[in-house]
Amino acid sequence: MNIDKNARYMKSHEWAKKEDDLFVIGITDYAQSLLKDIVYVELPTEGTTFQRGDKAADIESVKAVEELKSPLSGEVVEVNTVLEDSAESINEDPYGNGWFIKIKPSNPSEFNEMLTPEAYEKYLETIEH
Amino acid sequence: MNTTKEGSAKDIQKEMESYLEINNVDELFADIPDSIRLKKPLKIAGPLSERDLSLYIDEVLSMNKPVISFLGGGAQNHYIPALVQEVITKPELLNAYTPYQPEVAQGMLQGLFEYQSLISEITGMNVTNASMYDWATSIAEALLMSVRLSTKRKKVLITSSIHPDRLAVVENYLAGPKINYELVEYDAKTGELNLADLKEKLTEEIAAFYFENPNSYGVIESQAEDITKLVHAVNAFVIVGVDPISLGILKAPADYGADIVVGEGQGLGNSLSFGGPHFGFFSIKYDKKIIRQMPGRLVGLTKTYDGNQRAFVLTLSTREQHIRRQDATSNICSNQSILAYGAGVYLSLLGPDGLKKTAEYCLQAAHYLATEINNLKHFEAPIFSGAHYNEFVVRVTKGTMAEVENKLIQQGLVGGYTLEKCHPELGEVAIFCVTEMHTMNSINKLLTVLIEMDKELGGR
Repeated sequence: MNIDKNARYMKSHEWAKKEDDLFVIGITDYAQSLLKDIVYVELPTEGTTFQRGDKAADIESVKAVEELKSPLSGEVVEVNTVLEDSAESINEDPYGNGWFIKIKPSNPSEFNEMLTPEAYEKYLETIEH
Repeated sequence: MNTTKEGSAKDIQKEMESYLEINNVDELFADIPDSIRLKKPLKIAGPLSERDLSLYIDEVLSMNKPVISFLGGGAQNHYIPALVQEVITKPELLNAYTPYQPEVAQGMLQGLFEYQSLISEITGMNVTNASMYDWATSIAEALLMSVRLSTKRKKVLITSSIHPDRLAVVENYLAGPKINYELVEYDAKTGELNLADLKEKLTEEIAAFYFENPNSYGVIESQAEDITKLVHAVNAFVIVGVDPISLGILKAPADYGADIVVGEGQGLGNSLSFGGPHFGFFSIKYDKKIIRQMPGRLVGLTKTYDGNQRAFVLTLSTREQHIRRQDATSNICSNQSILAYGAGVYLSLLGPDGLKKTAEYCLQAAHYLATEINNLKHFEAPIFSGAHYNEFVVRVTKGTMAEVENKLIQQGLVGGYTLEKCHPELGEVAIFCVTEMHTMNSINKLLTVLIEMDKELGGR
């Protein structure tokens, strides 16, 4: 499973990366491998505000529907509209082109409470068969 | 268990009880609380032998009187080609329970795909689901779908020219999610929708407007295009309920801007069956986001893994209950798809020409009857000036419609659907429905009785 060294993680398999004063958010390689082919995502509108843990997006694959829960509190300033026609970008490049939303954080310290890449990797070992 | 031993049913039962280590069958129901157990026998007659039961049923059925009926109101007596029955009573189709697994049910899935395609063709919409329970629930689901897609809007508008039974079902569905609705008035002279009233009630709060075409008075909503323009101007959804056979001659709802089309599918090769089972059809225009809010099963066309054969499957299943659970678009998970299958057979047998001819007969026969009734001194038909399809409202100006009904029944005829319960303002009226099952003989038989009644009331 791929891990991005620049990101931090949630046990629910979301990642966040710092980009200037914003955070970019998506789902991990492990998550997309479980979902299989992703066919559709329902993204929030710009301007929506979330508390950490709120549902930010619906991810629909050929076999299941999952929620992306925002790992950080803040306001959505940009959504990845590419996903509207190319949801498969999430499967192909989950940490790059497959990003979901960019958030202006209301409480940036929440990022430090997320799992480090090493901690997430360790966590994956305990759940992967 | 010793399977080679022969014994009476009692012996076998004892053997089973001993294997299960119980003393009698009642012990298997031990976890049903005593407080809710039935303590005395039910007050019903005892079992009959097959012969006695057969004789009894014959006796009851012999009390049926065949009548010629002019009832409509959503369920109509249309001809059912023998081939429809021949196809849908095939055991592989009829007996299968929720037959949607592609590996065993290609026949069923293909038939439903054809049905979907045919309904799409006659409505002009390009996505049709594999059917709903009936017209009433289709309306309700369409309204709920519109509200879901409108995020902040929680109110809908409904034509007052909707059958009261359908409105009652819709009210049940709107009650749970607390969606408010308001009725839009009809024009007392034309019987069509009152556009001014619609315009006044259309605000940015409204998620959708539902109307019927023809409406429940049989009147064709000639202003359908104006209606859709007004509704779209406030970014609300247009939902229209139509008679599928009427689409043989009336404009396809897609052509006047409908967003969701629903209706009763019973007339397409399914019997009246004393009220059901029937089925509802549900069609939309394809949109990535909107289709995901659509309820019901959807059959899609794909290829096998090796790419060599075409195959039919259920598609976009992630909308449905078995995947989304409480987040599903609807709790519909079963339906009467064998009837939709029959409708597909019906439509493919009639083809566009057959459907047109059927609709034309319905239209012309209804107009003939209405004209003849209107010639009578104490009858008015139709009471509205708007154009009508195969249903129209008849008023008796002396005496009551109930008296007319009684007189008709004595002659083996059933008149129209009376409206005094839901529309007392219209007076002594009933909606008469004419289909291709009414030969000139039947229509003239009805007229003979009405002419006689008219004379008795002091006619010409």
